[in-house]
Amino acid sequence: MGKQHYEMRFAGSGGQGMMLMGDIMAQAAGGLDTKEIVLTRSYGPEARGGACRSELIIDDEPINYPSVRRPDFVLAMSQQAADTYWKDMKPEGIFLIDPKFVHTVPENVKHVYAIPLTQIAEDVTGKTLAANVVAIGAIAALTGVEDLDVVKRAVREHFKPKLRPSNDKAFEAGVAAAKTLMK
Amino acid sequence: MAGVHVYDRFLRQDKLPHIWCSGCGNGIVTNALIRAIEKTGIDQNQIVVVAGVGCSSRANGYLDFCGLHTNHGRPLAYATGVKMANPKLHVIVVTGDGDSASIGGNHFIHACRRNLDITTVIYNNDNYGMTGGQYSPTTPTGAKSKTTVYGNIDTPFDLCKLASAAGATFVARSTVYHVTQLAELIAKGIEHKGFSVIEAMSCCPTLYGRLNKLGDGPAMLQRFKDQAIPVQKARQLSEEELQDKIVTGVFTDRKDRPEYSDQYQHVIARAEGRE
Amino acid sequence: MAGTYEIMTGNEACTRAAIAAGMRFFAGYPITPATEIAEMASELLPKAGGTYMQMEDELASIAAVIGASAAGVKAMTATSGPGVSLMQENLGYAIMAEIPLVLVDCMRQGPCQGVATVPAQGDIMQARWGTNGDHPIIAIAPASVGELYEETIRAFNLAETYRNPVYILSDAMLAHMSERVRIPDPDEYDVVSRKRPTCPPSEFQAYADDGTGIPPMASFGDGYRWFVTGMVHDDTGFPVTNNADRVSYLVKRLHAKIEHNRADIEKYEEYKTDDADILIVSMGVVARSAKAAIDDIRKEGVKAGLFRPITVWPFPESRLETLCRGVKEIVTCEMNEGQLYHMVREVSGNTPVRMINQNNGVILSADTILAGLREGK
Repeated sequence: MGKQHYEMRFAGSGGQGMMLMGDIMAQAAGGLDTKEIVLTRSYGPEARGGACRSELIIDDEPINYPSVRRPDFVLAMSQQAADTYWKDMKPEGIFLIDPKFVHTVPENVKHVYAIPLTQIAEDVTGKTLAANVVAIGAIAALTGVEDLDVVKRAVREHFKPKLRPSNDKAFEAGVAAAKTLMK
Repeated sequence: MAGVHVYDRFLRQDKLPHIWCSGCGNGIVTNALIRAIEKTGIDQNQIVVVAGVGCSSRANGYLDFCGLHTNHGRPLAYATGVKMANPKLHVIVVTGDGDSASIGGNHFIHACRRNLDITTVIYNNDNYGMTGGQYSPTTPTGAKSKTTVYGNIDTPFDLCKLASAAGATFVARSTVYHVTQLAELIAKGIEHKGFSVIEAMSCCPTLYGRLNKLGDGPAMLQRFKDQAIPVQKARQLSEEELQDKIVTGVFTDRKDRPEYSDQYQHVIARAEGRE
Repeated sequence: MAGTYEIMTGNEACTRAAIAAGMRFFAGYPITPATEIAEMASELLPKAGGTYMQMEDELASIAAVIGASAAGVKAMTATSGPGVSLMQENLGYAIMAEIPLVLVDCMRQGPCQGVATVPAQGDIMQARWGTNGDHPIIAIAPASVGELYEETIRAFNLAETYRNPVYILSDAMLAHMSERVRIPDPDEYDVVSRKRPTCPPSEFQAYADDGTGIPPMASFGDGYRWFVTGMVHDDTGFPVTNNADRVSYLVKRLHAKIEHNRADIEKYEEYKTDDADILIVSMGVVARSAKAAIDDIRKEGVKAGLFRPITVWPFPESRLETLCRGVKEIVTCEMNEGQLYHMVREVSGNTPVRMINQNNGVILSADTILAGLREGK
């Protein structure tokens, strides 16, 4: 699997666990696998509620420019993020949104995947908190940037043992939701 | 070392004579410090004297111990690093009223708060002597100086009250007239486990004394004799009666607060999972 | 290659490398974007038997670091530009008294408080000339988290070897970004400690040149009763005034420590300079933007190359001068108003120099550099 140079952006609001997605995808690709990664994070002025995003570059070779230039993948978890962060995407890039937060999808984006990440999280774990893990499952399946098993391991290793079963469920639900749309 | 005079042991003979003015009290404070160190019997090689800048800090160069002559106001911050890097060392800070209470005031209160085992001797001569007699944070209200030619409108710090309030666990004051007491108090400060402050009231006849018509060195010593009142006696007197008095003795001597470098050993033990 | 690989942020790499290099004392004061170094030091140092001190301000932080170093312990502090400003006074002391230490500056947008969370390269000249008087300095500007790890070890080694403070110029981006870092095995790198005196204490002169230009250094409590001052001093370490010859001798020896050892201290990277017509000079993370822009513009037939000073101070001017002679144009890419530009102008001879700069807290991007290069065609 794997792609030579892959740029990802995770954008939303504080409190949605946006940073975790970048951290786990980075750990999967660079920590468990042996790819080069650069992960940058930017926060809004408030710890919760402010705009925040993280950006991840995955490459088989050492990475020069450390910022995302032409993202292959964008996750938007707020309307503001959806309105802003599609503009520099590659034409074939993947745009993932949660319809709970994003009501208007930019017209010019070709490959839009709307997955009710928050709703799925609530359905399978009883809590909306796991929406980010649902997202990771969906991202892993949609992008194929890293083996599903490796990403799943990165998720499992991130959480304390007692939280693992519910996060496993969230991850698998995300994968399944993505695969349904990819058919 | 029996038979060798304490001055020969603890003063760097090649650095003498000292530069202090005739009648200056700083030599007496330094004498008291030497006698205090002698009394404690601490190994000469395990003492580090840290000084800032000003007339007081000149003492550092004459004393034959390890010496760290730092920037103005900073000796306590440097001393904190020395002591925490090697808690076995005995660290003595010689500083002045301007050095400790003005430019170094923040370091002073935080050193008191931490209660690291450092002994601080403040040579308080009521003005900035090295730069020519400007007023300091301990210059009395109304006094003349080169920068209060119309009289000082500032309120001075009581450095002992400041030190006690900020958490120092041994706080005492004496004057250069009461040299035996001063040496005893400094020795107690060195032997005290924790942060100790000894305010030594020194005299500057060349500047502060002259500008305020207080006479020469001996006259200023006489004044200390007249002004001094032991802390036990002072407790019976009102604020008004204590005007123009210098309260001497031990103000604070606490054993209830843990010493900082000891506390840090617990941090290491916790980090290593031993506690 | 041997070693292990881990994902970590710049601030974590810096802290862990410092401990690997022998740091056992850290004193600091919280400031964005350097705070995580203090946090990690407070957690990791006690485990290594070392000491973390949170001081009352930045003046006290570097003062405590100097005190610890004089007591024989390798020490570091970390801050950002505003904190560096406060440290200048005592930094000068460390230079004058030749006390080794490492000072990490995670540069953020200035002036003054500026913008706390965003990167800049505005402290290059502060690092060079910040403290009063003419003085030598070493400053290292890594471009990646991995390089930050390696160069932090080297910073300690240089500080110990030359008894001079060494800056690490990181920035808000490098501090907080994560990369896959190779942690070298301990046998892969040298850990250098200051040269100690070997003579009997009675013969010890703390600041006498032993012929190397760098006097051996005692530690408080080791039996050498030495004296340390920030004033001009004689070989014994005691202040000297009204002695122009001594002042001149000491200042020159301090500078010579660095100047005569440029070959050991200087470090730079060249990228596609062999056939370059345009030479880009850029440092830190921005140099990586420049590399990407070079790859792009080469596809358009423009031969561009990069010279990246890794030691910004001493500035690797000799090699740069040679490179400048062989190109048609020089372009500095930097996040300030031209702090590298002016240094390059000193060695550029007749070759024209221009600048592509951005001073707004946003990383100078590969696209902006590419556009700037096209504009100049």
